[in-house]
Amino acid sequence: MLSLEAICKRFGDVEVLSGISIEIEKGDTVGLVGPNGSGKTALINVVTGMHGADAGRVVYGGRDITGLGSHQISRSGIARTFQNLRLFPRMTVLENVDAAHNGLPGYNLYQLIFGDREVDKNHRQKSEWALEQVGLANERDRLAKTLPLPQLRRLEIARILARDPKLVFLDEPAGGMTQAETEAMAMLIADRVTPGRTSIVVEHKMSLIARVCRRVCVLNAGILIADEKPDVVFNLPQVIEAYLGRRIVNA
Amino acid sequence: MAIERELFAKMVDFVQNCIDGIMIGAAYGLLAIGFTIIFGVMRRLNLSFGPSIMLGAFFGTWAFLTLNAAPWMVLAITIAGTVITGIYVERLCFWAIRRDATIASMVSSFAIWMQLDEVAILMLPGRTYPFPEMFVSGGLNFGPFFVRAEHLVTLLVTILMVVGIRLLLYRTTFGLALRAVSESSDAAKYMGINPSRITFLAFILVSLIGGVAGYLLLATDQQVTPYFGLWVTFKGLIAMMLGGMGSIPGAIIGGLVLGIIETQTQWYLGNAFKDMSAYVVLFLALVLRPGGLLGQGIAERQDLAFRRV
Repeated sequence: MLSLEAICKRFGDVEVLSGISIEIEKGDTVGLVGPNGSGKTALINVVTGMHGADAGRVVYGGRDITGLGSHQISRSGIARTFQNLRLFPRMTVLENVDAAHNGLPGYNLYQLIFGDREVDKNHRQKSEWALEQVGLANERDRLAKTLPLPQLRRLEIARILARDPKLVFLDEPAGGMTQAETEAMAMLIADRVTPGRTSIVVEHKMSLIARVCRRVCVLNAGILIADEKPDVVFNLPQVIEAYLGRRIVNA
Repeated sequence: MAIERELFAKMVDFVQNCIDGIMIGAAYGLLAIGFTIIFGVMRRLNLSFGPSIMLGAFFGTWAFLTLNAAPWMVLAITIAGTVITGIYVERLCFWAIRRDATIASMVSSFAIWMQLDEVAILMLPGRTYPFPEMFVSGGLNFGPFFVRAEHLVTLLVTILMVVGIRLLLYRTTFGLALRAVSESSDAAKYMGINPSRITFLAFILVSLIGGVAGYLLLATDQQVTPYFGLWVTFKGLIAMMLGGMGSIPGAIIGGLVLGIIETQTQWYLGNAFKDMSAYVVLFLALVLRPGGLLGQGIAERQDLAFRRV
């Protein structure tokens, strides 16, 4: 489904990714963890086209997608959320999800301006369905910037559901959330996002990782140091060392 | 009795100035919309917007002088010329230069400005050329007030265009995509939207708006000079800053305020103060209300602008 082949990325003198190779099977749910600055988000950014890779290849569904623009990559069925949200703050909740359909049917100029009644109707239904899935149906006409953080993260999930991608990257979906909110988010991900999709989840809250992931990859200083089942991975000596001084909350 | 009559005459003057100001301010508003849409989509200023319109108008006036083109032909050529120049500017200053290089593309839009001036002077080497008048002329009396027909057309066309722009932005997929790119071009990319394509289309849109606004202004004045580009960029930028960058209602309000202040100053203090008043108002606005009159999300936008510079 997705194979990362020896990906390297440097920012100036700092090598943030040093030859990362990961093979991900279709339908798998993989946790991507590691201390701050270990290169988790950088890896997602390289795979989804936000940054170019300095070396290595990203092969998705048998096709080399290294170096494609992010809009092309997202059109090929890959979607992501952001650790520091990237929503459209001055648009309504519904418009935020509506925008997710852009580029899906490859609208031509005429359709861009005059629309296509049938397609637009389907899109609207799909947006409303996606908002129901994440429990935001009642907030559809609010401006996105007026929502509290947990709901904003849910809105990002709704945008993903509306796009119905085959491969999903979730970058700290429970970042900044309380314990209860994190559990609700874990449930949402396990029930609505991961079934039928291939997912990669970056998260510091190990309860969420343990709940949704069947496999965990650990990054430290740009190097892949472990790739195991969740119950095994946190007892590995190299992982404990990477987190030295940090307490691992293993739920 | 005499005092009352004098007071009445003064009131009439004041209201008449406001009417004239609204009429000219409507065209300023259109120019400001052009600046604000491009700023919204790219977070960059296109200083060459005015000169593009000027060059479009020079094509129009060239057709008028050499081919004796009819007014509607001049309108069409002015708009087409502005759109072509706009596309040229977009390709050179914005498409070719990296998206986060804000200063670089602003400076290069300034360089293109001079190039456009040169082209205009090569085409018509004199300073001032006649611009054909509109299809209509004369005026209408409303009680003690008088409205020029050209001004009335300007106002009506502006209202129609603002309604059209509003529908385009809020009722079409293109508008949704354009607003999405303005709000967060990163997020838009991950929705499958190609910001380059939307930017290109936005340039065509604002060139259309600018071409119409330029035609309305020039057909009212019935003359065109290469300085028209400078004039448009100044008026448009000031109106945009007055109303608040990135806000379309703000652009219109900024345009109207600027128009009214200019006509009042011209009436009471004379022609020499007309342009100066615009800068005084801009200065005061920047000091007192840096986010513009519709100061929504001032902090937010300044923060954004900051991060991109």
